[in-house]
Amino acid sequence: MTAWDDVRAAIDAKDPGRVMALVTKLDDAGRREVADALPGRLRELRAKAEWNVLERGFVEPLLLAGAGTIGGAAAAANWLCRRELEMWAWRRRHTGFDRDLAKVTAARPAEWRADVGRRIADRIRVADDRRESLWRMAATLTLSAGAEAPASDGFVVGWTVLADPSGLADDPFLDALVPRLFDADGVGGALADDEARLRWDRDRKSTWAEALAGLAAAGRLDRAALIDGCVSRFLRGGSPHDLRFFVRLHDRLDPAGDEAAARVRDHVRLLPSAPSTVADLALRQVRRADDLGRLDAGLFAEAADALAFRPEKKLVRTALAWLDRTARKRDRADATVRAITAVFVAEALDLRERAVKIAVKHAGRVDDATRETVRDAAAGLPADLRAAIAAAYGEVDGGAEPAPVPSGPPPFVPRALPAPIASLTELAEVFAAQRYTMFRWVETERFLAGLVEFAFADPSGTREALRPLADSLRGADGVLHPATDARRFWADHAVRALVEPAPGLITKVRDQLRHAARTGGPPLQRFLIRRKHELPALVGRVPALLAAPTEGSGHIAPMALVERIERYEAAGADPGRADFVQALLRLPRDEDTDAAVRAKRLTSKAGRTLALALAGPGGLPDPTVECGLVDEPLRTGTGRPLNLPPVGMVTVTSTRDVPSDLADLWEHTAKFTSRQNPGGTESWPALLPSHREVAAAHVLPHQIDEYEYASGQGATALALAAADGPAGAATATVLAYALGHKDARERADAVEAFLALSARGGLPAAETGTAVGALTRIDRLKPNRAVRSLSEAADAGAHADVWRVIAAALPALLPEPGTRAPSGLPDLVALGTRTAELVRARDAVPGLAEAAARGGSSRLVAEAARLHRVLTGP
Amino acid sequence: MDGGLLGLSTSGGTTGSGPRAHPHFFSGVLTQAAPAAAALIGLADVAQTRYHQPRPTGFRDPVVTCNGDRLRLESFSACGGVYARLDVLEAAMDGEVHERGTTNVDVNGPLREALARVGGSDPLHLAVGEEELAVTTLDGAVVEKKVPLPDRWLRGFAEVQVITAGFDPRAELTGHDAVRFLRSLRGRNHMWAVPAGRTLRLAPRPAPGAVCLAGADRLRTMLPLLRFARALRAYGPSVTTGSGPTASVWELELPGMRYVLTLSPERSRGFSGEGAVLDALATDEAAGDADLVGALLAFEPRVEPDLLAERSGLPLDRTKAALVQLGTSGRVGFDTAEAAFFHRELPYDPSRVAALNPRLRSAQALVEDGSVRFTGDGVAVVTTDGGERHVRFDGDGDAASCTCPWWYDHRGERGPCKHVLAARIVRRGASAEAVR
Repeated sequence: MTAWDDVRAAIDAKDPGRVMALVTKLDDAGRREVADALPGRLRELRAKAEWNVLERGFVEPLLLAGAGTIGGAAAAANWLCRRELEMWAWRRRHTGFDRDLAKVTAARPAEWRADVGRRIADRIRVADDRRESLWRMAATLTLSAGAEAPASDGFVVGWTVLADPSGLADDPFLDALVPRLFDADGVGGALADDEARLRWDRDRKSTWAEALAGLAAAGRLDRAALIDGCVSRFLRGGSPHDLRFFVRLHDRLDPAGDEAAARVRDHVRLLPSAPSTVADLALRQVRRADDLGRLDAGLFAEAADALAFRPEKKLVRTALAWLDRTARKRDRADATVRAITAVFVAEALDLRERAVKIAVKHAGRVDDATRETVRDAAAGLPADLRAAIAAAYGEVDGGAEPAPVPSGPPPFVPRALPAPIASLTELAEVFAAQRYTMFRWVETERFLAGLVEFAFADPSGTREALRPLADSLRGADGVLHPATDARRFWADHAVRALVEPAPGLITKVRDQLRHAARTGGPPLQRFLIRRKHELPALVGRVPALLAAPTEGSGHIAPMALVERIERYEAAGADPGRADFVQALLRLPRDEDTDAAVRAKRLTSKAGRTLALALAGPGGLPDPTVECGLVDEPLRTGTGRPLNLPPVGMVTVTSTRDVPSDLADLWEHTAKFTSRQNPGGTESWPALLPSHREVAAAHVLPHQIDEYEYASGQGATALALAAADGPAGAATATVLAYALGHKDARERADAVEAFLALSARGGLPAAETGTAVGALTRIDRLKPNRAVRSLSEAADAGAHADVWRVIAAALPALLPEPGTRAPSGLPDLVALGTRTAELVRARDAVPGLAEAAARGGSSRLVAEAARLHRVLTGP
Repeated sequence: MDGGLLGLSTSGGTTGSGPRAHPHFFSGVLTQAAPAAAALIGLADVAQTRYHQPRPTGFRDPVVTCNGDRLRLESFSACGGVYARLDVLEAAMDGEVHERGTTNVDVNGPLREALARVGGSDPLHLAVGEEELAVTTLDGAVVEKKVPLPDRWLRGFAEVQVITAGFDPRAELTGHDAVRFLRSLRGRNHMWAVPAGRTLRLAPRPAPGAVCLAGADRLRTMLPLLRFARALRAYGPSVTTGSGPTASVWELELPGMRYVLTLSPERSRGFSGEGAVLDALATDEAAGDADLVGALLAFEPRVEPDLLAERSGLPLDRTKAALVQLGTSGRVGFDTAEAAFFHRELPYDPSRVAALNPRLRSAQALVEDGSVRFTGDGVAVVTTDGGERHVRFDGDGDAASCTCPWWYDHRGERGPCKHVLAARIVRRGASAEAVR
């Protein structure tokens, strides 16, 4: 019996104790024999195992057998780190594996153990699920060899995660690894939850920051080295998350004045670009050094300049207070005032005011050069602040207030449609592409228009071009099922009718049509379904798709439609009813006399209808649209707002008779709740491109979503902006909701819609403001998000309209005495001040004077007072 | 900066007079120490950031080229989607040019720390060598070892150069407006920056004159440099209202230097996979010219095609084509600010670029298997595991489209697919034979 037979039997018996006993007794030859046989045995065991996963019971015997026998350090480390021999953490603790590992390797040379430990440590990755098992093996071998701690970053990170901070004083790695805390990658991230961990980890009795500071206080660790370590880690930079632990540690160490002063240059260098938590800390240290008089003039100027340039308002405010308080005492009024002129261009009005106040206060102690700097910097200030500077520093140049830049919203650029499909090959490509990509309305219309044209001009060619791609079309029943939603399978329907026309298909369509019209769903969706089901009957029979838009907004150039009808008359074809109605709906509002004249020569019924539509202005009459939102949120008995329907009600009332096909669209009432999502409404405005408000009324019930999912609310608003026709409360409510949407993408689209409407002079500003107020009151809109959108619109040049929106929104938003203001309201008022200043508004805003006069130090009152001052100014 | 000093000397690497053991490219003083140090940290930040699907990385090696009157330091983000370059111009350098050449340096922890300490009027001395980089500050010297560069950087250098060579300036923001604009950027959404008055406005859709900004967070390494910023310039291709995402160049002007970030069209797209060089790689025509022109390059800061044409005896158009070909192996870069090529030699074997490209490799495999079959003039059927793909050429040119899903996803925006490449190779072979 050889050595291997015994060891193998012990492994197969899953008996780690016996494996150890056998392995430790082996001689060199026996060890080599076992080591050579182990990989093969592992393979066999895996092959036998279910799912090829090694049974857990074999892991420890195999690991111990390898650790006790494998000769080379590299090979031993490889064996211990094998993925299939990974041990779960709880099992490792439970079985005392690390003790066994020390025992089974005790006879190997110390250098070998140290080498294996180092090699295992090198494999520890910062974010690795095996971190614990690898670290413990490396630590066990290193300690048993009495070697230095491994140098790898992963070993340091593992130490911070696994060692117990309350027992650090006796930790064997303490002296070796503490200096590495500050330069190993990943330590900051691993210790970021140092404090939080105390709350969920019952084994933790102390935080690392606390423990290290305690050891420094007891003289066990070098306090200066810890502070230096933190500072150098700050200088290396990183995210606030990665630096959080070091900020806490530095706070715990609480450097004394002398210690701060010794490192003041480093702290000053942190001020310009460190994360705000670190800059905050650095400012405190700099001030401490300053208190001892250890901040020289050069460093002070650097610090003051850096702080005035910080983007964080809080930091700038703290810095201003410091600069103000020490300017006279330290005799550095010049450097102070020069630095704070940088705050004159700050975004925040309160900071600007504060900076001006400080500049005025120290005016008497500065030299001529500084006075000139202040006068130059003051040129861009608003009139009242400029006057304050002028009183203290002399006449300020550039008296005229700067014109707003840009001076108006960017011009509206209508979207162009892609060129019509030019060849059969392209038609086939677009068809194939549609099946790989998401549904997009523009592309579907383009394909259908191309299909109808080619199927009429070259039926067999079109059939041949599409046939190879039509193999996988769904069965006839599926295609025509009326429940199929309005967005899908348009192309499949039409192509199927051409390529493999089933007997009775057209009749079947007509029957289904009747059913489709009866089934529920929003009127515009029913309208789309009617068009979809009519299409198979048109392919190959008519020369062109009448409803194919020629503009990005969805409009059809009148002349293009006249030409299409002429082609119908020449071919003796009858237009599809839904197709023709859609085409009429897509005629622009503007008159086109050339097209009207040419249309008079049309003879068919459709032609005469078209001629009539083109003859007079306006086309279809605009219905009246009313839109009401519920004023107060419904509440439970305990006063919690309820997210229950309805949110509002929208009514479309026809003023004149309209064709029966449009009755649904022109006479419509919908209560709207937050649970009606027909799957995207972006394409709907293009169905009614000349009746924006009607489209908005049909769209509105599907915009407001309880969970604020992004479902194209912004894109819908943008499509409404691209459409034409009067805009009122319905359009305004769609826009307002999208402006305050949770999703940044929707908001960006909404801002674009705002600018487009503003540029076209069609923005219902007052209604949008009212909707912002009403939606906020019923808890459907967060003003802080709307402020962000509105300030983007203002920055892009729509100051005037933004001001009108805010002026209309404020009366509903300013809180009654004793009630809480919605979050973001002070920012909205501040944006109001900014825009009102630019357009020199002098409107009266109901409730503003009362809010401004309320007194107290709240930010809302301060902002309201400032706006009130601007509005009642000369 | 009041007389701030940054001493910088480079050594080692590939030089104008051929590879040498320890030459010095440059030794002297940078007159703008603080911005140079901050910008170097920015380059290192880009190199170690993975903007798409963030996780920690270890790369941090800018490539340094000395072009005589300027130093260029270049790096790629770990995700391959951001290319950063710092051009230190003559105005910010005060010293002697010993040699022209390229090397790569490591910016790691101790060096970052040393650089972060530079401010006010502190001096800083850098020495870049073949195997190491030494930085000397008030606090002492730091020596770093060189680490190898990832292969995808080579592909990235090639792509960036080909993509940006066609860009034009689209917007310029001065001092305060640049600061405001860059600080106002939020989020990772794909946006378009449209010129509006003195500044830029972010819009969700493209408009004429707009520059694509795919992921504003990818510009965040500019934020620590804002205190030195004099202007921000944006470059891009011309776009229309229907354009898809494009790459863009953002250049921050600092005293005596330029910090330039080039962003890929989408966050998830690394430059190395853009496929813009594939057209050039598939041909052998320009290769000979490129060898000739490449031998004439001498680390010029501005490569003048006229001058090169004269020296090489090639016509101007062939010289320009040869420059593009050289770009595909990373041997020239493109500077949008001066609309000019510059010469660099990367520490790689340039001929590997073709071998590195997986799409080209797949296409060649398709050709060798005989999977490409021309069924008509300009129409080819390529047989693959996933079924038949139809490649259609538009006219006599190389423009082609395919019926594979990859093509529908990208529509040629990321270069030709392997089927188009394969069909093109077969077609060229056929026409070459016909000529014979």
